Amino acid sequence: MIETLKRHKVLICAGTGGVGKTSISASLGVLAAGAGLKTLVLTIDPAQRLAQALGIEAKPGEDCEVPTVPGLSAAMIEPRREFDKFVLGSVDSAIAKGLFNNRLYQQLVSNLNGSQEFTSLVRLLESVQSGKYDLVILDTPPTQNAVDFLKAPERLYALFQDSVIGWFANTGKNQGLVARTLHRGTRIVTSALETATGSRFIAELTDFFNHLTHLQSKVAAVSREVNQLLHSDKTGFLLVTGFDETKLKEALEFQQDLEREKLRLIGVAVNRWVPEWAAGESLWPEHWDQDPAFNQLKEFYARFSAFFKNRQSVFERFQRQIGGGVPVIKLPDFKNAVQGIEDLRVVADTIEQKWGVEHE
Amino acid sequence: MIHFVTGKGGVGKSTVAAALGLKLASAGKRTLLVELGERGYFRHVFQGEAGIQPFAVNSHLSVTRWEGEACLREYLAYLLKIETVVKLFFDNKVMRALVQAAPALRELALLGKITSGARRMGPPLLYDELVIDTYSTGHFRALWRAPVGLAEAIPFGPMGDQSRAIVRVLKDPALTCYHIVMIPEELPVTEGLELARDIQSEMEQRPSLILNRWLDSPLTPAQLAKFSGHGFADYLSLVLERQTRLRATAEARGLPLTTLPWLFTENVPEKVRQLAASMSGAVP
Repeated sequence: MIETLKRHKVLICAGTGGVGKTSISASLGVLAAGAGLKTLVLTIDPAQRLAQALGIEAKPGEDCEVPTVPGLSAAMIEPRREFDKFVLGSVDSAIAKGLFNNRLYQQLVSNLNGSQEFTSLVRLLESVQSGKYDLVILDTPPTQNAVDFLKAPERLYALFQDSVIGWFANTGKNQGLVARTLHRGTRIVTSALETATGSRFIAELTDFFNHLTHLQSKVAAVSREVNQLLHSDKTGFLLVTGFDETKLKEALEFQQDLEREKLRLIGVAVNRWVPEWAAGESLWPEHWDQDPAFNQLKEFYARFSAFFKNRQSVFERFQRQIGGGVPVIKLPDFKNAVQGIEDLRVVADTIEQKWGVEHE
Repeated sequence: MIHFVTGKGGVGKSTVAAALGLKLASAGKRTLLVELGERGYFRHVFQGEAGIQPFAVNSHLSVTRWEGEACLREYLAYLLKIETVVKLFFDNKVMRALVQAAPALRELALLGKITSGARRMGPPLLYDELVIDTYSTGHFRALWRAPVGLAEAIPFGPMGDQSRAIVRVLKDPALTCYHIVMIPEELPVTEGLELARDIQSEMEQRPSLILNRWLDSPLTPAQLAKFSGHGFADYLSLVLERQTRLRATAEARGLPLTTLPWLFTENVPEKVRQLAASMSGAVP
């Protein structure tokens, strides 16, 4: 894994919520920093104890050096704050203030549909361009499915397109939207929108777009640069997934989506594969065999083992489907929740060991 | 009754929602199981592709998949009554971008559809129970906060009125209830309980807690302690200690709490059937 990390400037950990993306991203950061790379891990909404361990809890939004891991920095992305920062950096303060006061802007930034993805990518770009890091690892926002991450920014950019802004933005004339539109087809559409939403909403919408016009060129530039960055041969995607037949099916869909977008999947990490104990039975003292409770334990163990063995065949099918070109590693279900730096080191070592030299 | 099923990602929300749907249907209620979003999960459970048009699993249970745009389209058709206008609207590039990304519009369209029966608004929904396999915790908050925010932002006009009506339904315990699914692990419980607190303070409702993947062990912790050093015995001790502790944490909230068993199968339809069977009377 270390060689793979060294070849990249950006690593994006994608996957659905609840599969352990954040701890894997942080562990990869520990691994990279240990190999001498100046590394930044960008995370979203980490669990409190992990945030404490990384030393980012006190200063949300800022790059913080991780105590006890030389060379590693981490930052917690706060969409609201990033969005505001982006606006302040793009337009003058009077316009920024007008936008901050718009109710729809407030909805946009606090609403997770797309804004988290957009701000993560802006932050990623900024971190790479700062030149301070050899490697930036992005822990993506939790989505319903892995592919949502790729689609969300596109949806948001669509709002900033010429045609959309041009339609709604009202340059000073104090006229209603419907009255301004001359084309008949357009008039029908706008009046349909007005019937459904009302003039008050349209007024908010117009105000919103009036402010957005000022952001347009900056958004266009940033999205171009983000696009370039994502397609660079120094950028790779790691899919983190859980073990579940449906999750594995989704992983296959994600691979196809990446291919279509011409993005590079460098590997798949199947997390929480089986508990650590399932590696094998240990020996026990002979007299336990006389204990009826121990025989009950053995029966229960057999049930568990059969259950986990079945996973192996499902997994083998998955591996055939995903093809030989993509390394797939299985990580065990660690005994304790990954919370401290020591836990991260254990995960990092396991990843390194499972990845092995053959995948480098 | 509208049932919202939510919880941290990875806790088995969708299987629990499907099981709840199955259970309500087998109790004789006409039930609609709803999934939100563009890619369906229930096609893996019920062998049938559900879109905005429901797909009947049996005489009492139907499954449907709703996404923002289709709901908005249906709502507009109901409102405008002229199909060509609706078509013109959705063929329009600007409206497409707006529907895809405009703040709160999709959320409102989805909640509008979910609450349409209770508000007697839009095409009638002929069901007694609606089970919504909704988003995980963070996105679920964003979902209900959309109409709350808009109700405040838009004091008058159809958008504001609709938002206020939706919020009224969401806050009414006779019409809507919330189920938070958790598994006995630290993060899912912490996140689940935080969400419960927000539902209590913002929606003024008492959610029910569902502790999924509860392990019934044939051995007690005291019995297991005798076999300390045996890998599997140690693992079980750890799991039992953790689930007992986290259950106590959850119970301390004083909210209704149900446990659902850990199942030894990866077969999704089978899992759903077994979960539904174990719900007998347990879930409100």
